[in-house]
Amino acid sequence: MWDQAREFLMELVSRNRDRHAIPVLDGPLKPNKGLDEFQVECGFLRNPDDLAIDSEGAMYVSTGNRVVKLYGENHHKQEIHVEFEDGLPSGLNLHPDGQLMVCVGGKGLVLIDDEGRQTWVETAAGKPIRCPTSAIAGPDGRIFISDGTAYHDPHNWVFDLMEKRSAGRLIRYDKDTEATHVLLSGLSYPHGLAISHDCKSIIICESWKHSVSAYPVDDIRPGTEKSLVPNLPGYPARVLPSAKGGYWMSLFSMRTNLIEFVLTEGKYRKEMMQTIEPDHWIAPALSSGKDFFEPLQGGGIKQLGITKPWAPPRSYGLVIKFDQDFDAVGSYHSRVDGMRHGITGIAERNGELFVVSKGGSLILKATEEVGL
Amino acid sequence: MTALKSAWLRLRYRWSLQVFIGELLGKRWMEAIIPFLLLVSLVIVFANSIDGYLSFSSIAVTLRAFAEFGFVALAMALVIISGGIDLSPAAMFGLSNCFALIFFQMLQWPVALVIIAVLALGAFMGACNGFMIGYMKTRAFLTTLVTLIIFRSVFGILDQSYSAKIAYAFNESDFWEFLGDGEILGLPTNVAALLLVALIGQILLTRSRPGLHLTAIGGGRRSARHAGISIRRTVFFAYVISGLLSAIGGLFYAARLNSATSDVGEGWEIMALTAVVLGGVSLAGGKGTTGRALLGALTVMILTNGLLSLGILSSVSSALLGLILIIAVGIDIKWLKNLHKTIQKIYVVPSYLKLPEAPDTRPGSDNVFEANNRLKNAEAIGLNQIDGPEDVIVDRQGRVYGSARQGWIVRFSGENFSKREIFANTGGRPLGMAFDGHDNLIVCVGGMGLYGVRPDGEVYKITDETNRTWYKVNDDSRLRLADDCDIAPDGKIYFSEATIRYEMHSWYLDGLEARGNGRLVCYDPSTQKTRTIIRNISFPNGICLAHDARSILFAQTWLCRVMRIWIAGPKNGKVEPVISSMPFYPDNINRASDGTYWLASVGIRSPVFDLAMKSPGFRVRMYKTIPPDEWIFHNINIGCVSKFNEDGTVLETLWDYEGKSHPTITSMREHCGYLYIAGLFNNRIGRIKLEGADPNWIGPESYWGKK
Repeated sequence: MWDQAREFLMELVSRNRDRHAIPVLDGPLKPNKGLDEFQVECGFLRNPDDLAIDSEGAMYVSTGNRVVKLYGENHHKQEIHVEFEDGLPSGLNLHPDGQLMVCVGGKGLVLIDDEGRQTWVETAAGKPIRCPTSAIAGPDGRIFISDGTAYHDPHNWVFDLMEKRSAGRLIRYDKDTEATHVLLSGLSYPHGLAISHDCKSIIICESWKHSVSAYPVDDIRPGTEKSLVPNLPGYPARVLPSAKGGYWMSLFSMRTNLIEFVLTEGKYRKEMMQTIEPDHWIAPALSSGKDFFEPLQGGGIKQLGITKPWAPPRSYGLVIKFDQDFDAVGSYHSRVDGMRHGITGIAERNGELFVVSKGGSLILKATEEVGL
Repeated sequence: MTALKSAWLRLRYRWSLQVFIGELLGKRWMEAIIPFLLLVSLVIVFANSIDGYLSFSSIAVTLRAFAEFGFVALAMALVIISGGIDLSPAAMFGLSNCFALIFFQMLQWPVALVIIAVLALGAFMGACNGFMIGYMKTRAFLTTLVTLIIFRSVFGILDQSYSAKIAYAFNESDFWEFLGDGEILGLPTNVAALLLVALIGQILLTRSRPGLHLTAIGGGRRSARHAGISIRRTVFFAYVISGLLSAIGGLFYAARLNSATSDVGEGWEIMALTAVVLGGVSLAGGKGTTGRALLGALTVMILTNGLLSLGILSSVSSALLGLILIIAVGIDIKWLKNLHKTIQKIYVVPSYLKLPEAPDTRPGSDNVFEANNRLKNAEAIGLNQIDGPEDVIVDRQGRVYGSARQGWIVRFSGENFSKREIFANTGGRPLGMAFDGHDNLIVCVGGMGLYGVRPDGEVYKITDETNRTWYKVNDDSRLRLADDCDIAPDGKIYFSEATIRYEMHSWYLDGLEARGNGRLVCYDPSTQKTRTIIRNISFPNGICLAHDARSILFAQTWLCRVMRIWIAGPKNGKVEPVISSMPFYPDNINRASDGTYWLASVGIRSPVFDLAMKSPGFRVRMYKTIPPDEWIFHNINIGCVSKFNEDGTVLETLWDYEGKSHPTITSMREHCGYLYIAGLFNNRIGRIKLEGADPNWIGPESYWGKK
């Protein structure tokens, strides 16, 4: 009550104040060429989305309509682990009992065991899990699933943003009873899930709210959350606890003033969505520069043959390292003049960091020199 | 329905009151608009509430009293413009009045001597102030407060000992009478004198060296000092003149009333200060005119007299005056300080622009516009040796000229064009170029006008102004952004001025606005006259004389079309379209060897920008809320060169669709079987071999024949 009144007063006193102004990339977020200096671990998979690494070091990557297993020295060998006929896999994770959890867009979550048996989780509270983005095993073995939105499949995320939806859910699945339970709804595209280092809370990244919040694992309901990062400079994808302490976060695109402005321009945005192909919208993207109908912003004009790296990004590559308390401590960038954009997946093994650049169709490994 | 709606939108955004207001507010004299409106409303109020207020005699009385106060206000204004403040003019005024009467009535001096003596006295009193403030560096406020008290006390002493004697003494002189009650051209003498002094003062203030020094000191003391202005001397003379003006006022007062009571000029300090600030002379200094000081003085005079006639107590009316002073100071700060911000906010007024559908250009679209990479591997001339050649031209000897951002015309010659020289420095932003019949290089210089460069590199002005449009608020006689030119066989130079509302550095604001802000201009060397031939057209850019020299082709960038104006034959003067819709933004046009034309395109249309052009409100809000680097632009990172014939059929297009070596293309020239390519933001001039082009064709020869 009091908060609302104060909010109302503040709104009256300073109408133009923007509580969600895009933070400046400074301090630990100061731009660098970190991602551009990463090693290429795999460059032949088209638009990979996420990866998971098992105890033997084999890498599972979701790409196209299949999950590919990369193994052997430097992950040079590959085989198709599983293929789907009517859905595109995105988020991947391994359950402690060895099952691979695969989020399949338009269908739901599938658990695949060593023999290849599939267990499907397709609905929650009577509604299909249409946009599963991440799945993670809780401390007690129950599985948390983030359902990005009720309106679109994961590959159509840009529609969800431009329609300004908040229709995401957090679902818990119990393998023993095969029961699903909707814990939270009305989330703004929950994209990444992680269990905190102390196993007491679950961390959720909401892309359209550019924020990270934590809920106590044993009491997940609206109102118990704690905001960890209220305002990110980009749209967060996935978050991962690091073995060295702290957390990694991948951001799949950056916010720009123009996009935020278009989000406030209802009429223009609607007409744009009705009459123009999505690839040419004023909207964030995983990669850019392929098509000359893409919008150009003033700072992006080539001067003397050079695109300025600090131009407003249509696509961008960013990985942020946070400490225990979710204060940023460092970051890796691929700026406008780079190509390693649209970082969606992130994984760690034996102290090595792997990231998936969906826009650049690359899986990258952090080299020793750039390791944070 | 949609057609109707779009027609309505086009009309709705075609004319805009906001454009008018934006330009109006930009005028210097608009700074005085508030005091002027106040004056007018005061006159209306008093005229309605006081009988006979506007009668001739009433006005004459008010005017005579006003004139003396006007001198004091002028004295005050002058010092304030110089960045100081003078509280003593009213006291000097009183003292001068007293001395004038002593000299004339008691001592019975001749009038001429009285005038000289009183003026000398005023100058002396001012010099006291000036010496202390200018040379001794005392604080102006305190110093003049002290002199005010001293002058007042001297006045008081004189008044005690002489007022009775003055009252009994009697001297007559026709000239003295004339000063007090005479008329010049129907105006009371003192009013005429005041107007004359104000006029001369204004001319001196704005047109003479000492006047400009004075304003400069007020505007920025330190900068003025760095510029070598003698601050001490100038400030000293400002106070001397202030004393002189007060003395003139006192003289007229003495001649008119012949009374030396001690309350002469009392309270005028605040009245004069109010008047000056109210008139819009900034207390911060450096800003103000004599006219505004008089405007403020008249307002204050009318107000005090009006209140007096209404029977309001003088204490109440002084309180009111104080209130007005506070408000005026507030206005001084707020209005003058924020005026340019307001202008900035409302100056750009986007209009509705719906571009016609255009053919697809993407690779694989399988038509003449299909993007290709024919320019990608163009040979680079002067790579990283030239900054932003907007235009390129090749002379008879095969030397290549580029108009660079620094104001230079850079020339490349020799083997592989390795010899680079700065052929000329124009001082502005050189854009389109053309050779005339005597091999002079005619250049449109953004920010300056139309210039020529002789073969030896000497730059000369051809024209920098055209005839003014009477109904435009902005003075459009100066050329702001001459863009491209071409020359007819009779020597007439036709050139485009892209916009008259924006400068070279803010051309993109014109694109955002997309109004008919540009014009075509013609310079006739036989009469040396410059005349606008088409006005109010949207961004005319490239200009090219048709091969038969009977018409001029011109490109309208924001409208994505090429037009033609006939300059000879039966259709003389008529404008008609050549290419009415293109998928890209046309820039310069030049002749091709096979009787067709080359057309450079600075960028291509993008769907979201086309949509933004149909949404004026969207563009306004974008312009106001986000920084320019974030604005959506025409996609000028990819350009092309196309070839079209007299009928407007596009025959081929040459692209660098990845934007690797030629992202923004603004011009091209054919020469001896090669095509030379230039770009506004590029770091080179490109060259490609043309298949099947005449290997001996030279541009200047196509205009002027062999030499």
